Amino acid sequence: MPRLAARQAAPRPEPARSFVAGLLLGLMLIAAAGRADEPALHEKIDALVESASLGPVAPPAADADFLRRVCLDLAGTIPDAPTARAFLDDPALNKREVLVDRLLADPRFARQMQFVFDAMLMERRPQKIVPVAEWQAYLFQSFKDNKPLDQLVREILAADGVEPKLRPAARFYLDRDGDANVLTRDIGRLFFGRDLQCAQCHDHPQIEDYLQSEYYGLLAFVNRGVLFIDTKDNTKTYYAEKADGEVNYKSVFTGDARDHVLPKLPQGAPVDEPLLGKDEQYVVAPAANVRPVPKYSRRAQLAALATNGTSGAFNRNLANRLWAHMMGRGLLHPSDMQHSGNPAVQAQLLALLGDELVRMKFDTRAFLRQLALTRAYQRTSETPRPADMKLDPGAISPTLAAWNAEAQRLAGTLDSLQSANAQVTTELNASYETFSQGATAREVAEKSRAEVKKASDEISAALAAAIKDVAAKDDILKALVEARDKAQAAVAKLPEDKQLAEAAGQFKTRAEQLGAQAAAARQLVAEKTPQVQAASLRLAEADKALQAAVAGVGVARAALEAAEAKSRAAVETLRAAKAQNRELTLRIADAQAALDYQTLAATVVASQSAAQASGDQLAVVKSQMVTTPEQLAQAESAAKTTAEKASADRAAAEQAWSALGERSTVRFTLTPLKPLSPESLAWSTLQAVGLVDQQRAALEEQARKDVEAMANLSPEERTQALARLLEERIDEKLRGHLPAFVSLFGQQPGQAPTFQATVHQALFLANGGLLSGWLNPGGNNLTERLSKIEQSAALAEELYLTVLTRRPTLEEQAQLATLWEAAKADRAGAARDLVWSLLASTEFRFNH
Amino acid sequence: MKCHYACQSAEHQLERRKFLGTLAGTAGMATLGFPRLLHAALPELNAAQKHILVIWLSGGLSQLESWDPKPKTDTGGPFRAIPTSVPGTHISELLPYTAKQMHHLAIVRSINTKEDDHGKGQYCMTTGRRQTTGDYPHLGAVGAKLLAPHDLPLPGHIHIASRGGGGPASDGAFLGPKYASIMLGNGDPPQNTMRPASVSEAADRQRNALRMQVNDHFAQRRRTADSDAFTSSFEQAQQLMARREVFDVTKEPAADLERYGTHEFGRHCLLARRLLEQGVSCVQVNHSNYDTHYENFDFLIEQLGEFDRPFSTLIEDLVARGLWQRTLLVVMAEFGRTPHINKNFGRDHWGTAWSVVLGGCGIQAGAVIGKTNANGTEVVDRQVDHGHLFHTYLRAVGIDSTGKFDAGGRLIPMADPAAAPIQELLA
Repeated sequence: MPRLAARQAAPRPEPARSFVAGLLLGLMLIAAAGRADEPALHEKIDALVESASLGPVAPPAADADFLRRVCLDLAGTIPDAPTARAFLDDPALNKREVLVDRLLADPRFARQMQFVFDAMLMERRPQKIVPVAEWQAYLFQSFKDNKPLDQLVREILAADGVEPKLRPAARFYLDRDGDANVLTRDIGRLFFGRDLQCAQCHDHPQIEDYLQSEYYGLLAFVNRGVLFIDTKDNTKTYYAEKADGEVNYKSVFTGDARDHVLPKLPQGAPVDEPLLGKDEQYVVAPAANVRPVPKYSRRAQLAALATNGTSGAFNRNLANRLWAHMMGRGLLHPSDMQHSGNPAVQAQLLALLGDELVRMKFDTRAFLRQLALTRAYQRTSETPRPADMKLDPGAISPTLAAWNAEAQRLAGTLDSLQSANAQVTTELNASYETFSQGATAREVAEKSRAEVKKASDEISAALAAAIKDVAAKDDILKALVEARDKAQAAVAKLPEDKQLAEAAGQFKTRAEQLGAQAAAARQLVAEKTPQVQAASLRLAEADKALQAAVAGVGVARAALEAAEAKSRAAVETLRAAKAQNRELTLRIADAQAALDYQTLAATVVASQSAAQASGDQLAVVKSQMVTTPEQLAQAESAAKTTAEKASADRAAAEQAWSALGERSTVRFTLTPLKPLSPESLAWSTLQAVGLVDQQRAALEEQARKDVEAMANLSPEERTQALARLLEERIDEKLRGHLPAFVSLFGQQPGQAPTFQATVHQALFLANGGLLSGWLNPGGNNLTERLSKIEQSAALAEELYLTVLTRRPTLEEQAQLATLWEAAKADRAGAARDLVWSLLASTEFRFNH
Repeated sequence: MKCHYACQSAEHQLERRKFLGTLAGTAGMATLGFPRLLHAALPELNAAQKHILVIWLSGGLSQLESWDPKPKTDTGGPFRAIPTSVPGTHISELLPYTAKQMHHLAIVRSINTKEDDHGKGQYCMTTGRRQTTGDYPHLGAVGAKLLAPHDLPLPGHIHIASRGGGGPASDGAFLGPKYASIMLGNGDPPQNTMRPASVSEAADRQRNALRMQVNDHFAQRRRTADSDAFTSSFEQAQQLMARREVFDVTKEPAADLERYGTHEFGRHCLLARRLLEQGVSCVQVNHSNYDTHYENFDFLIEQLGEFDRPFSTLIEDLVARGLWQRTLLVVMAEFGRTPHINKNFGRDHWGTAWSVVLGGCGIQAGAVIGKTNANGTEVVDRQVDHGHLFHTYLRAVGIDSTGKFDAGGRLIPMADPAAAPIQELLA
């Protein structure tokens, strides 16, 4: 951020307007969220989260923690000191909600979403075909326009790179080389939460939900995709699609095989697609250097079906990823391992979020707003104190007993569900067999019809040629006969003329010869005519056979669809029961851990009082005038034993408490520590050291002028335009620093992000030229500003608010006072090192 | 089918145990002292620690001018084959020093990867898989993950080449950046291992002390395995800086610098010895460039002349210093070269029948595996590919190659389940 509007040079009138704008936006969002009589989504979320946990529930975070957290999550950077000061000193009760709305309206929100979705969808893959900058600009613009997420994903999944405006969206396909297997894996993972890679060669060996058929059903959407390089157009590469290419597979384990696999979304129905004849498949047929365009695009189907709001797997996946972004961990974790052995920590909550995301028309801002308003999001990340836990064993036990009973009931239903599923699977396999045979028969019929047609065309052509030949011959014959008759008449009149008689004889001979030829030609026509009739009959038969085969495939496919639907229902019921059972088991284990902790805590109380008692006893023995050595030894030994037990019990209880804290983190009753993303780390550092402010100071005047030059803007629009212009210009100036952070703190290309602290990161922060350059005093950066502050209290406040977004503790103030006094000779050096110490701290590295 | 896990991410469990073990006494007890598990003493070098050393002959060495000569045939080229220290085994006369070390080495002459493309060949040979099946880590990353002691401050996976790098590469795949290779371009130390000139040693101490205080304050509020890992990465950085000389080959005795030769490859081999001795798990030395489409023969006289002496000296030294029996050596490339000699007196890319040399830890010394036909145009005995070799590497250093990695909840086989180790190559 955001320098929040409230801080834009105090005397200016913008703050109030921006504040109002924020409120208005908030009201609009609330209106969009649901009817007035229904609880808001954030209330429903909290009710569900808190109902599922019997462990400790952490209290709300302090204002400073909340401010830093929400700025990092929604704006991708820490706030500046004036913003922090203003927020901390603001007495308003609704200031958190107001802050959330301001951040959602801030231009930095779109920037942060650009970073989040870039990392999520491309996973740090290197640039190959589509320039990364264009892809990022496309994401930024999408979120700036508040493009609904379903539309964004639809554009990405339908992209072929042709339409210039949407070309960057094709980066998802093109920079994965259009490789069907890579795409199948990533589409499954990133859009449906299921990493099916291991099901490529066989059903997944460890995860029974991940079937080879699901992998190939998804693959069928993209296996017709081809990279097309247009040699005429600057060798531009497109992701084209062919109209043919069947998906067949065989398990390397069982040898089971299927062919003609229909495209199918994960946990969805096979797509009902038109059966087009060979000659009607293309808008533009493939040829050398021609980009093929099919009439029916499977990829377009994928884009449409995934995003139309009916794919629960798709909706839940997006909701889960947005949740994970805010909460630090998905309800489903890892986000791409959705299966009944690894269910969401609360399936009901995830289902609610998926449905609500659809109801909100995939509006990212509206959805994130609800998450930001939950108590779950606003809790402290500090380990709660045991004393804070208001656990009443009397309340836990009945709930626990009810959960246990439900788990037992569920376990009891699993067997019958399993056998029902096996039955349906057998039926499904048989239907597949029939369908596959039908599809093969159709191909055979199509081929044989083509052969018959070819033969028929040949014979018809031969007949036509023969008829033409007869006509031609008849024509000449007619002329010859006329000439012969006339010549003979002349010979009759001039009988002496030998030459004339000879000529007449020649006419006669020729006429006879041609007459014979014409007769032969006629004979040929007579022969060919029935052949043509026979061929036409055969063609009619072949047409009929093809029609029958097509109809057969249709019937088989209808049967298959019915079997699929039945199987899907059975599978889903079974999986849901399994998942529910597993979810409940985990919940019970967590509750049991809470109970166990309570027992331990009671033990600690007992052993501590025992230790106290034997300690007192020892004191008494010692104070007695007459004590035998035995008495003293006994009392000392008792005191020692009980003290040791008390200490061991306390350690055990503390460890159990910490473990309970970990469990609470998974249940969202305690906020986790989230590592800053590489981009957030970079921007927060730039913000803290003063580079962002430096750029703002340098760019603000020109930006103001440019906004003033814009016509027809209301004052509110002008404020917003200025904020946007400045954000974009500052980003342009500073974005060059990001790659250094991304390459060191980001995950390896194509991998899901996991936190790893490496020695190279530490070396970069400790010794790297980039950071040490930013910390050298100059250009009114933080080091320079701090070095000019005389008062150590003011120094401490400015330092801590700027870097850690909180005020220093008394202890820290005292320490800084000493340090500042000692550093009189080199305040700049001391300031530089102070800033570094805070920047390199865990408190800065994590979002807490 | 259930999988068994040879590697249950021991490191992660260790981190967790360490973390949970130190939690006692911190939860809710703001006034208690804070344990400093992070000031551990420098680790003792572990006498049982295994290493992997890869000599990468970038571009693709001709097997016919090295490990599988075919003199006096239509494809054999002008060079002779010479006897080696292993009776009956001959190699090219271009490698006279190496020939004397053959009793430490083994040759696999029957490799067919069916891959003639530089990038894809390199991927196959370094990861043991084809690129189309997903992203897999480099052998060195696997070695760093499984062989490196957890308290070793030095990077576990180092590449040495003529130029480039200093920071981590992207060959760690799902094992993460921690195990990606660090490239020491021109043998220079990794990036950022020197304190900035503007910060004095005293100031650095003070700023780190303050950093620790800020960390302690924060840890009293919340501590996790991640926050501990971040804190300890700074400790590791300090230890690495203190041992920066590890990367400085000029600290080796002058006599050794002489023995290895003053040229780049010689210095890099000596640096590899130094790194292995200091405990780095996986080292790769790149020697460029064997892509001999032109003048294969003239060029290899020079190139292998440069390779032969430092390479054999390195083997000699590793044996003499007791590192050999716990260091797996692999001499490989993207592929070999065509038996056919082209019109430019060159040989082209050839993944169909070529050789790799192994030695040291777990390898049957003196073994020759597989055979090509009389003029080297095809494999006639014991055909193997990158998958078999990868299994063999892991087994050689004592890792069950049928084990699996746990990558964030995903179990991934360490080596291609469709292949198996070359048993007769294993000691």
